[in-house]
Amino acid sequence: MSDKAEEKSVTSTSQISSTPFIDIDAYAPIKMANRVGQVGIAKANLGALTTFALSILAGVFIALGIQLSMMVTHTATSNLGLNALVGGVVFTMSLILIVITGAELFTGNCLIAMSFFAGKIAGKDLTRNLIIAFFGNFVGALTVVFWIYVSAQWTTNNYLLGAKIVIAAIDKVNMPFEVAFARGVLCNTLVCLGIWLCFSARNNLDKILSLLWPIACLIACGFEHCVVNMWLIPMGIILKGNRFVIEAAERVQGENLDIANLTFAKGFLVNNLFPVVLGNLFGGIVLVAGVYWFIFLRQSRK
Amino acid sequence: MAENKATKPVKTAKSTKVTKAAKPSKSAKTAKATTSVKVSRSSKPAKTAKVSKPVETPKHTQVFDLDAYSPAQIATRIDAVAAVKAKYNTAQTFWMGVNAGVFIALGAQFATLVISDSTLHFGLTKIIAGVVFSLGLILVVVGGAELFTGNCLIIIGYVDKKITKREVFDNWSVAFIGNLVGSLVAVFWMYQSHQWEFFNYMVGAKALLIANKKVNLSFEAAFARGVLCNSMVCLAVWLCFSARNVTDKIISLTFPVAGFIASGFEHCVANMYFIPMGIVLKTKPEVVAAAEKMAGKTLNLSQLTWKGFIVNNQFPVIIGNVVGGVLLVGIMFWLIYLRPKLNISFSLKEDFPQDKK
Repeated sequence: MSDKAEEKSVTSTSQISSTPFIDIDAYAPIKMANRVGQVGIAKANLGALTTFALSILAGVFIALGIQLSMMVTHTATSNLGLNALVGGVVFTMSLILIVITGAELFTGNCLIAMSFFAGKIAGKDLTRNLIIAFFGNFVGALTVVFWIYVSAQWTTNNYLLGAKIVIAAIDKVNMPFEVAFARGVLCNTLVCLGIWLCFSARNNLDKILSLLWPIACLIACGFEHCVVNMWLIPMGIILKGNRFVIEAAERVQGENLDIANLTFAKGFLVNNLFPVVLGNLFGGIVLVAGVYWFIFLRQSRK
Repeated sequence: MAENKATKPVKTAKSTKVTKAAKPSKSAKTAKATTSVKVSRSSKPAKTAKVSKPVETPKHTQVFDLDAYSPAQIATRIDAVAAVKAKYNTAQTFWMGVNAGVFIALGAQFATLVISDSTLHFGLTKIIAGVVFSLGLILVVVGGAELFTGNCLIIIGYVDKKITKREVFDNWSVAFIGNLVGSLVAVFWMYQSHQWEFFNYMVGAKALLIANKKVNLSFEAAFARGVLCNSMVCLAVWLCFSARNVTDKIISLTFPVAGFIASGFEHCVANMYFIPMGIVLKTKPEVVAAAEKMAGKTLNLSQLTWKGFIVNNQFPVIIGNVVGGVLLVGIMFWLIYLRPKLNISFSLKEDFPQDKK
């Protein structure tokens, strides 16, 4: 008889539903939207100095990730797609650091726009946060440029690592406006989707796994992330002054390098950063935050 | 000293908690400290203890159900989700459909890029493509989107009479159109990004070859591949309904999704990206040249048109996807777990009693 009772208690769902209920399931999309909205309010109300310090950290993390990615893929000559995938997977380190430590990344912070669309924060707060984050990221990335330069890590493998950085930077500064814009859009769509998935997560493993695919994708597919470029292009600009690096790069390319555009003002800021930042903003604010606001939070405004 | 075998014969629903509480009685001291009931029981010889009453569970212990959802619970959850999905308004369903189209396209382009110039052997290359393609389904399942193929499962809500036929077809048609729009939007952005120029046009060449292969399938082959594909997609979604957290979801869907891409099955929404991308890239002579070099022969691209896309591929694949998702997974699991009590089961007892109110 007692056996029967036990069997019943195990199999019947009514028994389970009468037990105390704690919700440990992953957050459903509608709850994710609400959580993003709340986090947006918190982020928009952070003090300027805190935001700035946190965004310096984010810049440093991204720069560390991209230099690792460069290091891992720099001598690849065949199976470029698979190598790009590995480069993307190792780059995920940066976003893992950012999400878990709560640093302020310019691209990821585009999700704050959801709170703005929902009428929870003013446009001024959103702009302020994005601007502080942008300059903080810039400072952080340039700090890493300094440290990596001093560390002479770019001399690794007979200057081939430095050569790879210069070649990548040259590609980036010679891109037409529309191409850089489109790649920026795709990039930040993926970044924001990765962070969006993290809002469903309950624990760190969830966060890491949900970041892995989108972030690996954006680096592997060569999309343009403005904070990545804040490290990569200045690094290229500095390294182009080094004779050995240029020689190594020309050996790799098999032809003379056209480094005319690899300058700070014209090449970096105008040719690359301007369209990429616009693309990033469009991708993050309109295509992710806007669409998800439209789907999940629009009614709650009334 | 007492023999603490006495604490064994406790049979209540919460037996695990009780044995936990009774463990300290190994030393009489701690047993005394915990509960007086146990001390009195455990101080008796083992034989008499067997007939004693079951120990009452201390009031402060609670049972939390943290396990993954059981198969029967998955079926009820999908049933409930079907009702939720039917309640979305058209704009919501449409935009979530667009999302799903874009997400699947992102997964598809990622897979194309990664395997574009792979020199690994064929099968390994395919499985890597499958694993990276999981990006699309991860975004759909965790991020929230309406994928036509995955939504085939809401047929369970219809046969269980939670939603009407009308609602099912509204959801499917709006999600389908959304998926198509999303995929074409992604084609536009991917074309603009000039990613097909990468690795000396090899990425574009790979995309062209994939698309060309898809439009040259025979009707039966495309249909059968569609059936197999959506069975695996719906099974992946089914597994995700067992999951408690995001890790569960990601890991459980990676295997079936990687499986169906690696096996070369036909997913109608993925094809909405692959084939239009091929049609667009066909106009680029560099890409065609690279593709011919990659294939080692001249290509016959005559089928790679919008007509070829719709007639040769989408038509059989969609029918196959619906058959696979609705009949082989949805109705099958409904029959197993949710069918009404008057049934053809030989045992005539309810195998998986449900909490139906």
